[in-house]
Amino acid sequence: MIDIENLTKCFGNTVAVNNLKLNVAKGEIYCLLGANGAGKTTTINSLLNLVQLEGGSAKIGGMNVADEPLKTKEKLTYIPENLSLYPSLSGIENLRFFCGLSGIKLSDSKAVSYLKEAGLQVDSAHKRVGGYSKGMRQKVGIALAIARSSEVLLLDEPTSGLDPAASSDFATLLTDMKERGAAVLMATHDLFRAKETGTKIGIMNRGSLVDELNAADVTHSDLEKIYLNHMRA
Amino acid sequence: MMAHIFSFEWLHIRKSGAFWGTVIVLPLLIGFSLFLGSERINQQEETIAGIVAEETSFYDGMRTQLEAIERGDAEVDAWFQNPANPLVLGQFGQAGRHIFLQPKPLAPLAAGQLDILPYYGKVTLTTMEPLRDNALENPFMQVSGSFDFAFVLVWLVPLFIIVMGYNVISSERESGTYALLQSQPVSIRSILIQKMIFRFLLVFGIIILSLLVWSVLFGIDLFNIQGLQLIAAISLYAAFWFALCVLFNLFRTSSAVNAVGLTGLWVFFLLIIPSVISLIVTSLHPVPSRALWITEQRTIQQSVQAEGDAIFDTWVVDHPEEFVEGDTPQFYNTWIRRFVWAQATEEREREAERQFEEPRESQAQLASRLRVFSPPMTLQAWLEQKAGTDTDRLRSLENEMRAFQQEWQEFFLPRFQRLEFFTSDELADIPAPQ
Amino acid sequence: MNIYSIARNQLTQLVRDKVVASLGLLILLLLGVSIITGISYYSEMSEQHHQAEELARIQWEKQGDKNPHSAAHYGTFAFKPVTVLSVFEPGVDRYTGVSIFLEGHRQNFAAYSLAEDKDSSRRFAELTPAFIFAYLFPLFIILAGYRSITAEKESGMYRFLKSQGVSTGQLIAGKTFGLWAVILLIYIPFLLIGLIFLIITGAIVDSLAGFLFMGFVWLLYFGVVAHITITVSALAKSSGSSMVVLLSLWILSTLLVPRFITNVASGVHPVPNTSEFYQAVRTDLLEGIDGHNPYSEHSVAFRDSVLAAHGVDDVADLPFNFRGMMLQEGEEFEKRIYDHHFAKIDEIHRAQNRLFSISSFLSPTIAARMSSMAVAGTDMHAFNHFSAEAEAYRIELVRELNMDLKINAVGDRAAGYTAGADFFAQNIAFTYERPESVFVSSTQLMPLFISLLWFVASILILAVAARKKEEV
Repeated sequence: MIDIENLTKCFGNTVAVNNLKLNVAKGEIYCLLGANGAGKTTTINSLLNLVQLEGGSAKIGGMNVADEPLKTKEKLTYIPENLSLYPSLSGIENLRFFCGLSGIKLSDSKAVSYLKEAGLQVDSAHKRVGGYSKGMRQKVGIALAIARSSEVLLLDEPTSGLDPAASSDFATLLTDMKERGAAVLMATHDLFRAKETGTKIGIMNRGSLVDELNAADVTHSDLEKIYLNHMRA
Repeated sequence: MMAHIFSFEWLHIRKSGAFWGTVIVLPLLIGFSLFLGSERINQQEETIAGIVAEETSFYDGMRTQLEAIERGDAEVDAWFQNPANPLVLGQFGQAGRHIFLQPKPLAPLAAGQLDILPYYGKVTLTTMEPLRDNALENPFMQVSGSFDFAFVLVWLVPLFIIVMGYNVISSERESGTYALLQSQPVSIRSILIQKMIFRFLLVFGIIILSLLVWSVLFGIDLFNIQGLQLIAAISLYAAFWFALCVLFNLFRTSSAVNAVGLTGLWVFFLLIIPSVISLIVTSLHPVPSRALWITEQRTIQQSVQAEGDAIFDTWVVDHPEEFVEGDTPQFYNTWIRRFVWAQATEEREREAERQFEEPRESQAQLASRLRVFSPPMTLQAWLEQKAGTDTDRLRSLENEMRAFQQEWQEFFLPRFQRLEFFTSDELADIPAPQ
Repeated sequence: MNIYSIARNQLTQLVRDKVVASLGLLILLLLGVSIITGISYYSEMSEQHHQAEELARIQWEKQGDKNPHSAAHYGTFAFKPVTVLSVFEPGVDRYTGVSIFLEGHRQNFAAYSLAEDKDSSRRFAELTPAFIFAYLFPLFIILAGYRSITAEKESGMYRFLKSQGVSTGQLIAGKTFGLWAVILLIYIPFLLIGLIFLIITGAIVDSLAGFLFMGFVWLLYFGVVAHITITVSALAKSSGSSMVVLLSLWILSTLLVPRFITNVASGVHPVPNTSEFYQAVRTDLLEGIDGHNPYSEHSVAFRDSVLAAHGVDDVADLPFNFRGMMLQEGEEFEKRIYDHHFAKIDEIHRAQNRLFSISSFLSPTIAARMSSMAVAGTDMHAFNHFSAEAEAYRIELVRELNMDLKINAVGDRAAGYTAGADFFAQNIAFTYERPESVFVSSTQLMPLFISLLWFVASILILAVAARKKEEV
């Protein structure tokens, strides 16, 4: 679903992403690890057509992002690191608004059922988002993905700042999404979560993909060792 | 899509203080300005009606008196009391006609230059006197200006628009919702434009609705082509300021920078450009001091006086048929000369008046060309023109008075020159301005 | 010490801020242009004014032999003085007439205001120091100061400073002094340029006091704006809301309240329109002596009383010219009527001005503007002072003329009596002298007092804001 080929992006003289090749298939959760500045966010941004590429291509569902920015966005849901919603609107209203932008008209009851599916309590769904925790807001994001039946989910450090329970809830949701056949690309620092939820793990360092592993093939401590080795190289 | 964004904009905006501030304050400001405007017009109409009534009663009185004399029921002691005498009918005391620039239908909307230039004046055979209603007005009023609809529209509406539009996208960026918005299958630009169109429609709707409601209440007729033009002009002006808001929101500037920048543009268009234009036109085309003009006028009067006999003799030679020689009454000999001298003075004064007219006209022309740099000034000028309170129209009073004076003189002077008095029937034919 | 370093830091930041620095320079530039054009305009106007005054006097003296009372009808002119300080504060100058026609029997309005001849763009804005100070300078202060405290909060500096032992009060004081320093950085050069100009034109002696007062008035106004700006910045939640609040206050003070109150004032205390005024005067005049009509009831009564007092039966037997006496008697009566009616107008204007003064509790701009007009000698009171002097001159001149007729047109000379160039040259001449003191009327002190009040109040709210305990 997500196909990144030879992607290169520079900011001035620094190379943010260097000749990156990365594929995420349906039903896969690909966890992208790497230090700050390794190029994870730039990779995700390239899939959102927010950066002008120096080389290579980013494709979603076979369509080049740069050629079809709006069509490719129809297929994906993006949840930024700190998902901000309109604080003066309720969870339902936020969901209806963003669904509407992709042409999906939701009734209130439908919106509630999606939010419920994403794990949000019904009474919270009616409250203003201003009072939501980060975890609750992310649930709205997931509800959006469900409502739009997104084939691609792009997540930028979704679990940072979540307490362990919320983080685990979120992992469950991701697994659900995977089972629905979504291709998930998640940038994260959380080695534990990457091993637990991910199907594939990529390690980036200074813009390059330096390693790619199957999550099932490694133990937690192996993963940490491999990661630290790459970072110190 | 548009309907979707509109409905969510409405959800947002009805929770914002800026919106409710606009909804409450703007209609009140418009109402107050229109109230003052309609009061001003009422007063003007009252003044006009009062003067016309006085004029009518004067000439009716003359006619009744003349009929009484003709019937032999009354007689007069002196020539200056005789209502058949052309001088009594055309020159003395209350005789003469007032020329008015009638208020146009849209006059309540813009006071324009009415506080400086007169809208009516009195014409007799020798005089053309513009009358200033407000010569006694506290000049501080003129310094601060009128609170008319034009002021609310030209000065204040842009500020409301800026408040409504300065942070449409920048606030999304600051609150973080921009990130999610960017990932939607709709371009940010089209969202921005639609949000702005919605806000434009709101502000525009508030203005038009309150304009119409207050107009009906205050008896201002806007349901005509002029009203349509006004609405079109308002929409263009509001669109201009919203477009500036769009422009600022396209750049990645913060809300605070947008607010400062847009206010800066407001200051630029409404304060800086006008002051620079006024500086340029007055420096390039200076109007000389009126103090000197006053003494000049006197010099002209003295020169006419000094050449009095020569001027009169020349006139008699040129116009023998307009002068009755021989044993004519004293008043005839005095006034036939006065008329000739008045004409000579008038001609010379008009010549001298050019030194004011010419720079004034050049100033106006240059200013109207430079005005295009400031949409507020353009709109103000347009509104004044529609309201008939602009400098050009008010200055046209002089021409109208002059034209009417000609008519007046053509009616009375030949009769006076031939010493033919009027009959009561003829009094019905005394010219009156349309 | 804390305060000093905060102030210095604030000043450095502002001077380095590109927007603030370029706006400051723009204001200085505009001030410079406005002074230069103001000066050239002033010198041209005063030159023409002098010429006109001279010419008018020559015309008076060379009017030829005529009956003195004809000369009263011929009349002469008083020209409104062109004051140096109008370069800085034109006040109502453009809207009042430049000259008053002085003749027997009536008091005329000043005619020909400059506004009548000028293009209407000027009504938006006119580049004069007063305009810049009243409108643009406050905007500059707001722009320089609206984030002074909020930015510290937003960047987290506030917490840091507090942990360093800086109190809110010290922070606010430091920021205030820093803002003051920026204001003075622009204002002092202006004052110096102004002083130099006054020295060059030689007007320094007469107008120094007025100029200094004016400088002081504007300084008070800037202080009010600066203190309010810092206060709002200290209380606001964010820079954005501080900006919006300050701009709203600016609009209220400079645009809304002045226009609102002047339009309300003319509704609450309406002045009669010109024709109503003359109608009222005419009605009252019918009640008294008409110097030109010897057959009116009042004239006959007066004549009889004079004849009786001198014990003669015919005016020809009086030891003086009765017509001269009667004209003077009529003149004095007419003056009383006019004075009475003008006093009523004056009362209305005063009532209106009281309203303006009251409204300046809402708008420091009105208070500052009215005070600066007062000290510059370009307000209504100054104009009224000139009109009153002109009127005093008129009545004295007419008296001289009537007295000449009364005393000299006797006996053989009575018929066809004329006075000549010698006599007219001796007539008093009009030279308007502005009063020595800066203020011509005690009511002018009111707005100055309110300006002071605003200044004190603005310091008080600053102090309140500084004492307010708040969580960081």
